Amino acid sequence: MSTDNHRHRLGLLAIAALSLFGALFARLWFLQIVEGADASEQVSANATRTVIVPAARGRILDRHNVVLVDNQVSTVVAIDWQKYRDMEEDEQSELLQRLSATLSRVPEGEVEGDPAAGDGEDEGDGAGDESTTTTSTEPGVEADPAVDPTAVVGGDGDAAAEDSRAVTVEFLERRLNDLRFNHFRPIPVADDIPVETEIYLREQAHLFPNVVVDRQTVRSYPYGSLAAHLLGYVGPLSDEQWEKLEADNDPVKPYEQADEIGKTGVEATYEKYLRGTPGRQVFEVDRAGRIVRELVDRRVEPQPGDDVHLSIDIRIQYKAEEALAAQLAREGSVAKSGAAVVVDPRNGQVRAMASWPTYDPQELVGGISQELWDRLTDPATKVLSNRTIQEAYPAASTFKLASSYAALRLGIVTPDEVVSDPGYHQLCDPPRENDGCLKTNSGGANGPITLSTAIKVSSDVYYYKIGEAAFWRAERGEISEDAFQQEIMGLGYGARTGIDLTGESAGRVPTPESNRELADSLWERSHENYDNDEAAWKDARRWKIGYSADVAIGQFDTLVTPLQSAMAYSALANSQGELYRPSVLDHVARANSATVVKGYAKEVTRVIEWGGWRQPLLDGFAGVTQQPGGTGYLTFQDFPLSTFPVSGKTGTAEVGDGADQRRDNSLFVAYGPNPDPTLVVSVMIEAGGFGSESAAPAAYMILEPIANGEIVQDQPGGFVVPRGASIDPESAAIVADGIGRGTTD
Amino acid sequence: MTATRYKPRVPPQRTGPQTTTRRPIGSFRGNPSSPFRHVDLLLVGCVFLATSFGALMVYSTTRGATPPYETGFLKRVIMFMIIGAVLMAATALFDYRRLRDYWPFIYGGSVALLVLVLVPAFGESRSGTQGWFQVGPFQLQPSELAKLGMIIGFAGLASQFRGDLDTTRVLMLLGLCGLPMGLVMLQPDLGTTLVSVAVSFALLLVAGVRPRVLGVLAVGAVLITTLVLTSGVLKEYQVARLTTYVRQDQAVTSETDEATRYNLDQAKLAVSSGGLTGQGLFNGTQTRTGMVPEQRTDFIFTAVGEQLGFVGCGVLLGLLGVIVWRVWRAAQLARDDFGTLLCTGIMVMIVIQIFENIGMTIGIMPITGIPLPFVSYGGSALLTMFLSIGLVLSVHMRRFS
Repeated sequence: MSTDNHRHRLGLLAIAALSLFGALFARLWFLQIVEGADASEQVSANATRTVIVPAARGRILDRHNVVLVDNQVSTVVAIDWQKYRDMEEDEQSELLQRLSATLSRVPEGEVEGDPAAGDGEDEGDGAGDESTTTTSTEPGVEADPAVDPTAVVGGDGDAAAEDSRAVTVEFLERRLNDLRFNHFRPIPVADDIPVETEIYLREQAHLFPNVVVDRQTVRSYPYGSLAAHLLGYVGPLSDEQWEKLEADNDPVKPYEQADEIGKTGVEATYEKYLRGTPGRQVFEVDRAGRIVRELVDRRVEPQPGDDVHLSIDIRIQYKAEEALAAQLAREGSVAKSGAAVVVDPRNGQVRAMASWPTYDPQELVGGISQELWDRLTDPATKVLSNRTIQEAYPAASTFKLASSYAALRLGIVTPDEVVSDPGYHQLCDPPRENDGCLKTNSGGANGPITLSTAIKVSSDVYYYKIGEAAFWRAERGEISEDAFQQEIMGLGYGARTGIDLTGESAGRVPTPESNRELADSLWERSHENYDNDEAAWKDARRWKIGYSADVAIGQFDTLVTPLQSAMAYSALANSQGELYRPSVLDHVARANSATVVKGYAKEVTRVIEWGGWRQPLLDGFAGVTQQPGGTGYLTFQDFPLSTFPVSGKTGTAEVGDGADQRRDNSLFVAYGPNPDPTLVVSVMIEAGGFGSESAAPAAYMILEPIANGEIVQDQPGGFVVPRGASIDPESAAIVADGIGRGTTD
Repeated sequence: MTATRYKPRVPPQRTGPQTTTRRPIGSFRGNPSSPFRHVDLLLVGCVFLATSFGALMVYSTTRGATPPYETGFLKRVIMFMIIGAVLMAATALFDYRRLRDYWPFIYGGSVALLVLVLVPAFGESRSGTQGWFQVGPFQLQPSELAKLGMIIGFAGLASQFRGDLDTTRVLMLLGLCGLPMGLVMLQPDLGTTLVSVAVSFALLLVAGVRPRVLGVLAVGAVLITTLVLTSGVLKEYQVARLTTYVRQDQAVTSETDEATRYNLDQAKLAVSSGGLTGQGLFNGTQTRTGMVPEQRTDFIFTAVGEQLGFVGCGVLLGLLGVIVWRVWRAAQLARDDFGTLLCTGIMVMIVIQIFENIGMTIGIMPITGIPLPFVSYGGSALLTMFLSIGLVLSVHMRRFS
C-alpha cells in the first residue's frame, strides 16, 4: 500500500466523519432552534399537573367586630393516593380494613383489649398488630353504610344516618375512586375525628402507611344558632351549580368540584368576598402520573377571603331572638314561629334579623344526615326559612301607615278632617252580601276622630271609609283603578326591598288587575275551582268595594314581609323621608387588615314627600304607646318612655277562614327614640294573637336594653352575649310575663 | 513515511529577566525522539473533559428530582474514570508494536469471551440480549471489548499482508471481522454489529482493498440487511426499532412500533425543548419526569440537549470532534501500517457510535442500543474507550521511535 493511497483513503474517512458531524449539527439546529419553542411548551404541558390549594374563607363579624362566623380547624384523615396505589393489593385491603375499624370505633365505649387504649397490654409488635386486625374486622363489616360526609346537602343520604362515624371498607374504596377528589392530593376519608383516634393514628403511624392525619379549616359559629338565617351556611357545590361553573368558572377564584360555596344568607350573597383566592401548586409528574417534585417557583400561596363586617349588632340580635323565644314559650302561647327585624332608619342598615324556629348551623358543617335535613326542610315548620324576608304575612293594622299615606296623597282625607267612627260601617247602598258590605271595628265605637286618633286607637272604620272613597273614585274614573294601591306601593310594599340576602319575597298588594289574573288562572287551571259556574268566575274577577276596604286595613291577601314594614316605617321615622334599600353589610375588609374593600353607602330608593302630614302621623304612632287608649299603651306602661320615647303600631292579622280557623298573627312595628329615631323594630308572631299581646311585648324586650343603656348602639361593650346557643326560652318567658299585654289590635 | 513532515516546536525564547528555566513536560533525558516528548496532550485533555461532561450528565439523569440526591451512579462513573485513566496510561506506555505479535491472543480472547457469554451458565441476559458477565458487583459487556479486539486483529493481520491484498486475503480479513460480528448477532446486539460493520468497511478501505471489491461488499451488505429485516430472524421489536425512524410521520403500524415511536418522540421532544441554551443543568423536565427511557445510558444525549441546549450539544460535539480529529491525525502520522489501521478502526468506531447514538435520539438513525462514547453510563464501554485512546496515544507518541 502506497503512502499516497493511504493518505488519500484516510482523507476520504475524514470527509465522511465531517459530513456525519455536519448532519448531526444540522438536525440539532432544526430541532432545537427551529422547533425548540413549540417543544418546550409541549413538554411543560405533558409533564406538569396543577393542584389547587383551597384558601380559608373570610370571617363574618358584627359591626363591633365580634366574630360571628369563624374558621375552625378540623382533623381530617386522608389517604395519600399517590403512594397508596403503589402498595401491594393485600397491603391495601389490610390498610383499609384497619383504618375502617379505627375510624368506626366509638371513642366512649371502648372495646375490651382495644388497641386505642394506647400503651396498654399489647405492646409487642406482632401481638399488637393481630389484635388490631381481629377486633377491627367485625365492626368494619357490620357497620352501616356511612353517610358521605361531603354529600350534597339534601342529596341521596344513606338511610342509616345514626352512626355517621361508621366508615366501611366499601366506603373507603368508593371514596378513593371518587373522581370528584383531586388524586394529586391526599383524599379525605373522615373528618372531625375524635382526639383519641387522632392520637392513636399518629402514635401507630407504622400500622397506617400512607394515611395522612391533617388539619383542615371548617366553618365554626361561636354564637351557635344566633343569626343563623341571616348568616346562612356553606355546602358542597350542587350538581347544577357545578355544571354552570364548569362552563363559566370564576376567573380569579376558580371552583373545583369538591369545593364549598355559600348556600344561603350572607355566605351566599358575599360569596365573592368571603371565598379565598385558591393557591396553586404545580407538580411535575412522570409518564405514569406520579409526582416527581414540586415546581416551587410556580407555587401560588392561597389568599384567605375577605372579612365581611355586618351592620348587625350581635347584642341586639340576641335580644331579638330572646324576645321571640320568650313570646313563643310564654304560658298560654300557641305560637310556634315568628320574626323580628331591627333596622336603622337613618341609613337602612339592618341591626338584627331574627327568625324562629331556628337551627344551629354547626350541624350543617361537614355534611348532614338525611334525618336532620328532613327536619330542617319540613314544610310545616320551615326551619331554614328566614321569616323576616322570605315569608310574607297579612300586614293588618301596621298597614295603616300605607293607607293613610295613599289617602293623603289622593286627597281622600286631610289630617285634620274629622271622621265619625260608630264602630261599624255600611259600605254599599243597597248592601250586597257577597261584596262584604258590612264592616265592623274590632275595638268598638271611637266616635268622631282625626287621622292621629284613628292611628292611635287603630280605627278600622276610618280606613274602611278611605277604602270606600278610593273605590268609588276609581269607579267614577277620577283616578285609575289601582291608584290607591300604587300609592301604597310607593312606600315599598309589594316589591322586594332589594336587601343583600337571597330568597326575598316581594309580598303582595292586591289590585283589580291582580285579582282578575288570579281568578283567570284559577278558571284556566280547572273550572272546578268555580264549580263550573262561569258567572261565579266572572263575579270573582270583579273588584269589589269590600276588597278596597280590606286592603286599606291590610287584610284581603295584603302580604308584607316584616322587613318591608320596617323599611316603610323607616321612611317616616327619618326626617328626610328616605326609603332605603336595606342592607346587612357594614363593610368588607381584607383579612387581618384594615383595608376596606367595599364600604357601605346608604342607598335611597325613593324620597317620600311627607310634608305637613308627617307630624299628625308621628303623633298618631306616638299615641299608640304613650297615650291612654293607644293600642300599645298597656304594653309600654313600664317602658322608660321619658328618656327613650317610642312610637309604634299594633297589628292583628286574621288568617285562615272557614274551617281553617287559626289564631291571629300578632304584629308590631316600633321606632324610637323620638324625635330622631335610631331604630325601627318590626315584629311578627304567627298565631301570637293581638298585636299588643305578643308582638308588642317582643318589641319592648328588644328596645328596653337599648333604652336603659345596657346596650349603647354605637359602642361595643355593655351587655355580653353568651357564647354558644344559649337562649333559654323558659327564663326569657318569665321576663316576658312581666310586660303588660294588651288585648287590642 | 510521514516523519519528514514533522516540524519540531520552537522552544520558547528567553526574553526578559523574569524567565526561569523551563523544559518541555515530555522531555526525558533530553532525548528528542523519546515517546514521552510526543504525548498528545490535547487528546488526553479532551478525553478528560468529555468523560467529565459525561459524568455530570449521568449525575443529572440519576440524582432524582428532590434532595437527598442520589450520587451512586456518579461515584461509579468517577471510579470508572480513574480506572480508565490508569488503564489508558498503562496502554499508552505499552508499545503498541508488540501487539503485532500478540494480536491472535487478543483477538482469540475476545472471541472466546463472546462465545462464553452465549453460554447461559456464564452470561447474563438483559432485556433480551445475552451479552453480560456478572463480575462481582459489575457487569462486563464483552461485545464492547470485542470491537477493539476485532480492530487489533484486523490491523495485525492486514499489516502482515503489507498492502498486498488478493481475494483470498480479503476473504480472510472479512472472516476475521465476520466471526465476532456473527457472535454478537447471536446475543443479539444489533447496535454493536452495525458499528462493527462500519468499522470493518473503513478498515478494508484504508487497508487498501480495491474500490471495486468494496462496492461489491457494500451491495452485499445492503442485500443481507434487507434479507435479515424481512426474513423474520429478528424479533418484532428489533425490526420496529430499526424501521420506526424511517416512518416517523406515518401511521402507527403495530403496538411495538407505537411504543418505539413514543420513546423516540419523547427523546426528540427532550432535545428540542432545550432550545438554544437549554433549561439549565439539572433542570430538564423530560429528564426529571422519566419520560425518556434508558436515559443515563443510550439516551444520555437527550439530557444534554434538554438541559444545555444547542450550545451544550455544540460544545460536546466539539469535544468529541477534537477527539476524533486527534485519533485521525494519529492514524495519519503513525509510523507503520499497523498503527494506522489501529487508529483508523478506533476512529471509525468512535465516529459511528457518536453518529448512531446521537442520530437515534434526534430521529435520523434507527434506535439501537449503542452508548455515546465517553459520555454514557456503562463501565465496559467507558473502559473500552479508555483502552482505545491509550492505544492511539501509544501509536501517536511512538511515531518517531
